Amino acid sequence: MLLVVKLKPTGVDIGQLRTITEVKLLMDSRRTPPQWKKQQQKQMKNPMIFSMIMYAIMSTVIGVQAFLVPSMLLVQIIFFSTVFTLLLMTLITDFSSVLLDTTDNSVLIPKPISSKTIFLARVLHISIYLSQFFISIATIPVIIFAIKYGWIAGITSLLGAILMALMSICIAYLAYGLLLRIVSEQKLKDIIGYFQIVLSVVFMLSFQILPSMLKFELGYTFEPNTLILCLPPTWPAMMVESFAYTQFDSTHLLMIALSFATPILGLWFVFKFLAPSFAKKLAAMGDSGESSVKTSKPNKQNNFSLSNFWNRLVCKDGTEAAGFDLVWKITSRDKGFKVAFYPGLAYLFIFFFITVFKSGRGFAQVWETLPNSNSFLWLVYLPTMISTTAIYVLPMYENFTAAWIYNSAPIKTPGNLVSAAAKVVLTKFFFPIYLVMLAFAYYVWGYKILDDFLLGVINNISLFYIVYLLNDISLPFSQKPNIKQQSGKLVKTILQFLLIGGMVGLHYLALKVSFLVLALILPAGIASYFLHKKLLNLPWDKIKL
Amino acid sequence: MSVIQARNLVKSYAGKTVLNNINLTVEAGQVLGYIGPNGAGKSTTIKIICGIIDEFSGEVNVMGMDVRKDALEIKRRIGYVPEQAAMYDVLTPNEYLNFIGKLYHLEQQTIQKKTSDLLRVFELQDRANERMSGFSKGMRQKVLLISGLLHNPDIVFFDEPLSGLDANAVILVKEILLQLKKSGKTIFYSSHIMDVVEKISDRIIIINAGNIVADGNIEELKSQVKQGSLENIFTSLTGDEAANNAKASEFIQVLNS
Repeated sequence: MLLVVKLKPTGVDIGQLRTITEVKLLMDSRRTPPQWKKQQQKQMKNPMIFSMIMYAIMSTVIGVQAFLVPSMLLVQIIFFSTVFTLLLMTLITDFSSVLLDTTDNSVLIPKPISSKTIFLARVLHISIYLSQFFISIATIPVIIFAIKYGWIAGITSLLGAILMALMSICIAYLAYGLLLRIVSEQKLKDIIGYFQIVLSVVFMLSFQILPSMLKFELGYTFEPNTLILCLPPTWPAMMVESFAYTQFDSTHLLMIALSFATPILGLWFVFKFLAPSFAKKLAAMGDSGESSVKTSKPNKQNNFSLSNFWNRLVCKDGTEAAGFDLVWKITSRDKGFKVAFYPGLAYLFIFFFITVFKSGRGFAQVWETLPNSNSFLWLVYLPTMISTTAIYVLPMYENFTAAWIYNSAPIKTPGNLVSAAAKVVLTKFFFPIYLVMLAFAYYVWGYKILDDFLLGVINNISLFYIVYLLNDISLPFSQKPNIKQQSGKLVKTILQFLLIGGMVGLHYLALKVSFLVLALILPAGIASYFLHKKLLNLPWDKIKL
Repeated sequence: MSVIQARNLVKSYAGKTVLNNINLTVEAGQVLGYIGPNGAGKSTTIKIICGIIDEFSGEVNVMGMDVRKDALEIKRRIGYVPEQAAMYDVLTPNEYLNFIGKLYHLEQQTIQKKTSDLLRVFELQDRANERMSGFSKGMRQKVLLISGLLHNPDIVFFDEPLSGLDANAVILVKEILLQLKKSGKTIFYSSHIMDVVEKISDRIIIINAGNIVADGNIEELKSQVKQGSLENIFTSLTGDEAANNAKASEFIQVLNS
């Protein structure tokens, strides 16, 4: 904003600038943030207000810590980290659709608008957009700080937050600028997709685990070590400390200098060196023609591929094998599937923490007594969470109308397709995770858990088939996303968890009798086989279209 | 008086030559059909002349102005209707056209009047306040057409304006092109199909792989084809019955094998 005022607007058409910015903000208010796209049934009237309220609530939680955490420095560090990550996240994920929008090229460039006007409109738009979020994040904590630590701390923390916001702009620009140099537009969009997944996982984890971790780590005195001093959010936090408690030793002065110099130098660098080539790259995007996504060459028959290996091993019939290939490929390529499925992996860790590292005892203490416990049973059965999540995610597909092919092709038993999807889930997602669990369990408990994992894999498969058969079954990639009621999701998750808990309980009882686990493998295998047969032979009237 | 002049136009993307020494002039009031197979360089030529792409070698003059120096003034006086329906589709037609009108500094009243009248002509008045994200390709194309002509330009560039339109709309747009021509506008029209171009153009330029391979009215072109030099390109543009017959029968043969 300051930039706009300072620049003498030569060659800038104020009317156009206004028109463009207005329209852009109008469009922002209608854009559904990607995080919520999957969950929203109807178009929200103003999704942006919703995310701003979310951010305000989050920041209130941060602000309230001022009354709980004794060290002001730590509170400030947490606050600045939040400002930094939330804004960076907004810039990278949500705002990426704006930054990388090539529609601008075809709509604005043919019109009589000077390039300076377009550039300024972009800067103005980004500034206003970010400041909306900035206000919803920063206001409440800053007020709380002013009340708790005095008005000087309030003002300096506001200043620090602004510097952090500038910093996040620098980092986002740097990230995009560098990425655009290396990869194509399509690749970049994929990378952003993965980034969204990682971020949502990080968010879930941090909200579940951090509070319990903090409980142990927080002493009454908080002395930052060198590593913490190197982290950018620490710099403005130290600045707040300096002014609030009038500490101006060399460390604090260095921190103050860093908190000002880094964002300002960074922005200067970005505008001077990165922005011009960035704009050029963006402008070229729409023109470079269709970028085809490279896939594996069709004629490499000799080469080993994991999907072929499993396909030959677990599928026999033509329809099933075809379905297996299709589901394997689409789950690798469809962003919608990835975004809906992978964050669920986080639950695995969360539940593991909840069940194994029950609160009350220290982390190290639990770790020491772990080999004597039977907690490995959770490791055996938690992967079911993953496989059962896939049951709900697999039928969803943006381009779901393509499923007409199932109806027009002469498919006698659609169960073959469902079973193919089930087998992809088991081989591609469940099995690798199970192996990781096994490796970890072997490391902690040794060979004695091997028979349990053997019985466990069979039971897991049975559980998976049972959950599959209990639900409405749809063919893979045949349903419109959002149609399913989200309200039932929590109940389902709890039911699944109870089911897993029951299985763990039964297995636990079986541990009491020696060799019972080994003896159970055969009957469990037979049960699993029949469940599989049932799914495989599912007729058309059991399929929900 | 020639309103468009391009001399020695060369353009390459990432080492690949897209336009290879294009020379052309268009007279005021002329309807020029600029045709060629997909990927021949049609859109690139138009984008350079309209001042959208500014990296090229050679010289381009529009209405006596250098496109490198006076791009803004040129853009003000021409209209451009792009081929793909790229637009801000979270807006409604009213909002979008109002936005475009303001970018051309039209009066608010004029914009409103023209917008509602033009949408009515295209039978979109009932959906003028619906977001365009739910619109069909044809409906978007209609809005795009209006947005390119709202400021009543002297020269109009159409890049495949008929793609995605239904049969009725095709006839309507053809008629609009003819009326535009009658009212004295210069029209630069690109397409990969000869059919419509043939009916409305005074003059046709065929380009292939970045080179102009033919220039003249339809009779002249047809006589050139008979001499053999143009045959393959012309066939792909007009659709040669014999060649297609051969392909179709091969297709059936493979199916039966």
